Amino acid sequence: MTIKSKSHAMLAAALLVCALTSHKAWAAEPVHIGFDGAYGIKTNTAAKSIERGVLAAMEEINAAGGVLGGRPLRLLTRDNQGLPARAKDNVAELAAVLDMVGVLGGKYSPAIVESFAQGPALRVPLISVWGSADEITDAAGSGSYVFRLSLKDIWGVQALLDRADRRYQAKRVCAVLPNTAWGRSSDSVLKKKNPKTDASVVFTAWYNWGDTSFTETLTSCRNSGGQAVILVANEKEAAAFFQEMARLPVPQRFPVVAHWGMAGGVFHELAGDAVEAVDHQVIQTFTFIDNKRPAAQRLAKSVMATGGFTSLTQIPSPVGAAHAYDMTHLLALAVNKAGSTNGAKVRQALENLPAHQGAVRLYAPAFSAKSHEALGPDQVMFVKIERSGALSPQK
Amino acid sequence: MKDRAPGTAQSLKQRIRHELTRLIRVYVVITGLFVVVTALTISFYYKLSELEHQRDLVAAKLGFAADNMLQQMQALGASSVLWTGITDTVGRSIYLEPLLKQFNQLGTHQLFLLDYRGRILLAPDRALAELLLQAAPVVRAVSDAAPGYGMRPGDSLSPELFIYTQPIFSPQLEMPVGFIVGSMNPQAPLKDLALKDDIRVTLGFGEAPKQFKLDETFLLASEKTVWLSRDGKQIPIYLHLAQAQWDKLLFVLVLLMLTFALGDWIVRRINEWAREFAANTTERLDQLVQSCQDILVGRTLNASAQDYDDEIASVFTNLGKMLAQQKVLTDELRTTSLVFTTAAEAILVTDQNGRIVDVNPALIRMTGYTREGLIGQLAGPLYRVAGSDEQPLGIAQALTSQEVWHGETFFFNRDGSHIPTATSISPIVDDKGATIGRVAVISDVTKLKQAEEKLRFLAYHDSLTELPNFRMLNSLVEDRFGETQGEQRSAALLFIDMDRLKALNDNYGHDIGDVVIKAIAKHLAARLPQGSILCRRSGDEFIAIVNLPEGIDLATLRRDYFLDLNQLLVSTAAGLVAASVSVGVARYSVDASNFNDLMICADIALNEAKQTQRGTVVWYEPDMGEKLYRNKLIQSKLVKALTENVLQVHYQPEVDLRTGELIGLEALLRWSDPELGEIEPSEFIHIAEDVHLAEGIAIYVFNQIVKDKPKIRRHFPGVVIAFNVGPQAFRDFRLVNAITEQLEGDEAGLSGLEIEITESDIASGEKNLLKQLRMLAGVGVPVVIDDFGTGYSSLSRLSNFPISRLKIDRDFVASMQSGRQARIVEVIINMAAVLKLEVTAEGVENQAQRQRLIELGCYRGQGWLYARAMPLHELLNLPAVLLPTAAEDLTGMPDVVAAS
Repeated sequence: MTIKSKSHAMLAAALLVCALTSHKAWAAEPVHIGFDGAYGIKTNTAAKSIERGVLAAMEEINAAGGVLGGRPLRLLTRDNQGLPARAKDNVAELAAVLDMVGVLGGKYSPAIVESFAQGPALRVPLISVWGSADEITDAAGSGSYVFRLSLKDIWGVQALLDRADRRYQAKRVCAVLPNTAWGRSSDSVLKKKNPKTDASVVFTAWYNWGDTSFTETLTSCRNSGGQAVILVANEKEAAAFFQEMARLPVPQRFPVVAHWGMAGGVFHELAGDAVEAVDHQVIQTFTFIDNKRPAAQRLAKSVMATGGFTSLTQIPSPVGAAHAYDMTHLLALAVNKAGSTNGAKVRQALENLPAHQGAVRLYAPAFSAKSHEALGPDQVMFVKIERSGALSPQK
Repeated sequence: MKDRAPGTAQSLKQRIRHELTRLIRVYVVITGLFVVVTALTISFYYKLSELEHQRDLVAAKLGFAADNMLQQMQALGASSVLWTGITDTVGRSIYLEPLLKQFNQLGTHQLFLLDYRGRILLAPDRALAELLLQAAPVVRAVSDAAPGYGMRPGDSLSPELFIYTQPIFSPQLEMPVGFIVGSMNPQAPLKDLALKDDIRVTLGFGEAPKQFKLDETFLLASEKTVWLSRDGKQIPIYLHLAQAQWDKLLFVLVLLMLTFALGDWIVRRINEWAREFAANTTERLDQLVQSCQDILVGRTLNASAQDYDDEIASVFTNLGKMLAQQKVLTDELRTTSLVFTTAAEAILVTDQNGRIVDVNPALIRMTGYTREGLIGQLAGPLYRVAGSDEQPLGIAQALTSQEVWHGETFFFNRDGSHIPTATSISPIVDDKGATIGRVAVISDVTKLKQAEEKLRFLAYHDSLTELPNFRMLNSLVEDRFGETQGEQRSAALLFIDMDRLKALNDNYGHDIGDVVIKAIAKHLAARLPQGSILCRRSGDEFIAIVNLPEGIDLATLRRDYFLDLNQLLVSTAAGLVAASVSVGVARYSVDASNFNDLMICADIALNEAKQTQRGTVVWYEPDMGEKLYRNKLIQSKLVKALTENVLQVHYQPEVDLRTGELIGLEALLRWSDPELGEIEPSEFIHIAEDVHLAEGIAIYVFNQIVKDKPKIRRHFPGVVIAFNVGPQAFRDFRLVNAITEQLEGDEAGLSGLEIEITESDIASGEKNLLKQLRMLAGVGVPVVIDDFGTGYSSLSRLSNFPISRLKIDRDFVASMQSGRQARIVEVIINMAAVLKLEVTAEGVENQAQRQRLIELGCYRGQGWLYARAMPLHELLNLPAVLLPTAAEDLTGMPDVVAAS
């Protein structure tokens, strides 16, 4: 099957999603929201989660009469397979769709960085609802069309370091980073760490996708006197790392404070028993567990319904769903505020939104001309991934 | 003659040079071609193996380089760094660039990265990368998401490149996350091989290049496919090495030029040699020609031509022999031709069918025909038997075989007359002995015939009375009494003698005597019965032979016959003269059974008449036979005389009448008996022949001569001895055998001998005579005709005999001065000159005869004028030159006749 035909298939899938979501007959033209996610990576659960979040929000919005006086919102998705090149193309394609008011980016920072760099050219708001690399928004500068409703490494990775210190009393930390923009962003943060933080990185290991052996990394980390590992990884490498660690005698194992990539996939399936063999903390910005926020509960209800889940713990990648849900509402607000599907107007509207009670937080407002970051360090929380895949919030 | 070959107009020199040059050129061309082909083949295989070696080197080198590139690409594709880089964004070049640099460090290939849609992701050489983006292998690989490979032909932007595009798969994804494009300049690794400049390497990567088959005329090519193994697939690299053959052609050209130069040199040398050889050969051929001309004109040969011992010398030798032979033949031919054209004899040549092929001028002159009128005509009708229209039988017989025919015949002239000829017809045979024609030599013998007729008449007739003479009677009698005695009727021989002629002559003169004799002859002829033969024997003697009725007795005969013969009156100028004859008659088969005896009997009877009563007829009676008795006595004594050597051989000299030089001898037999007295050979030879002793006598004489000859020749060197042989001596071959035996015993024994045979003996027709005479002539014993003029011999017969000389009968010589007879000798001498025979006159007895004979051209003679026959001892006392003797004085008497 060629890439092209595969693209067509995905387009068809997107249209099917539209059909499913548009169970009501709409006389008016739909207003589009795009999402480019790494659907193709089978271990990735973030894309689907984000899609659910968007759809949940759209269902609410469209049920409330849509936007711009009755126009339904419709979601168009693309699969970038985690490839920045593909993402770049997908985002450009989506941005070109008529009445496209915003394109969401998902997991894998390089893809976001690469694709959102087209913002000025596309003149459609591009919003990262997962990607955490600083560069995503930092590179955009003033007047940027790039927005983020997600973790940002500058405070997220700092939070990892802090967590290692606080949780594991690890002053000497080893960083295991992917050899990508994500890793480089994390590394940058770790190097420019908050002076207040006691912990510091004593050893940094770079790995590549597909690397399966971390023996040397662990040896070096121990030789460096490392007490904990800050792991920036997605589910596959993280699973490998965990399994590697699990093969070590318990005393030689490091506690792991992990970036959330691994929580965006079927880590527990990949890592198996190693999930429980390694003490770990995974950063999050949202959880359905014990979440009292009405929006979160609406979302949970919707996701469970559409995803066929029977408990909140079964919902994968909850941050993706939550961020997407909130962002869809924010876009709807922006469109209505802009009174147009014009990207520039919507971008401007996004910078000037009213306060909004979202699933993650109260956005008051979400963005400004100066800040296109919708979240902050306050949203940081840690979970432990259970053997079942459930993300158990940690204190 | 066939058309001449084009080359034959050339000189020998040119032909030799032309032919040799042609042969050498052909050789050079063939050798050249062979050398070229061999050189080409060797060079081709050497070059080919060299090229194949180069090809294998190229294949190894290129295969290694290409495989290395693919391995590098695979390693790169399997690199997690790459995967990471693919999913990375800005900043990935920090580690991807070093990575690529590492994979590109060999320099033989260039790897760069494309994104999932084939756009450049990272390329150290961006220009090259952009160029290759359009290349089919890249486009195809991106389109198919599968490995793609192929060639990018060289152009102004880049050299030709092997391109391999490999999709990059990350472990997590099914779709390619990007592509690695590897390119290599396949010619680059080959630089290390330092291939020859003229080797052109054409390559195909994945597929065979289209230009493989082009322009191979002068190219040596070798192909190979190197298989690269990649992901279980075989990727071919096609190699095609071509090398220009121009250097080889140049090599061949040089070789050819060398070959041709060598060939040219050889041709020049051969030409030079051929020129010299041809010049030498031509010179020698010229010499040969000159020598041949020399031979033909009879000059001495040029010796230089024989300095060699080769084919030309051999040709020269053989040609010389041939030409010498040819010269002889040519001379003969010239002579023959000269003879043909200038011969007095007519010559007529016919083909085998008897048609005339050629005639000579003499024949035209003789016959009056035109040459054109004769050529092609049948020759047969021209010959005629005298008085007949038929061709002589002998000619016809001769024409059916290859026999020679000699004889007399007539030849029809153009005017219808015919002339007597002596004709000799001989076959013309070719080399194989086949008769291809005949040549006839025809002599006009008209004058001879006339002379012969006259001679015969003169010889056989009495000139006074024109009656047959005794010689004629002899032959007539032989016809009548010879072989057919038993059948002969009764006849009477009359011996008639005129009474008293001397007295008559004395009284009235010889003229009246002659008139009387003529009258008597006329009277006798008239009185004798029809069918009688009458001849005049001598002056007053006549002999007649008269047929008688059978069974008539003597008494009746006496009473009824010949009663009116004796008396007659003759009217003469002197008045009537009374004449009478006495007659003796003898009867054949009653008184004698042969002519001689009959003559004797008649003579006896005549004597009886003369002695008793003249003018009467006396019939012979037996008691008259004294002479017969003598004959019988001679016969009885002859054998004894022969056995007891009583017979003596005497020799009569023969001289050159002009000088008197003794040039020959005639052996003569003498017999002196106490009882019978001197017996003349003429008397006892006849008797000897009757009793068949002639042969023995001849041998006796021959032996005696052989015995005497050495003494004689010692005294008279060069003298020739002739001896007489009668025809009976040739009855069997005893004499000839005796003579030839003598020859065997003494080679010189026969030289200087001659056989004399009388003309009448030749005419006798004795069997084998001719054959024996030829044998004798063949062993060097010439044949001389004795008593010529007395016989009945035809010229044709004489011409058949191997005769060297004629001896004129003494009677003719004796009568030379009598006027009428004088011409006989002249005719004989002339005729002998025609027949190219020598002539000897017998019975030369006086100076007048000698003088006359010399005048007539007869220079040989014998007779009493010089010498009689004499015994050996007397002969040996003679000088070499004889003078005429005093006997001449006796010759004043005209009627004295000497008898031998």
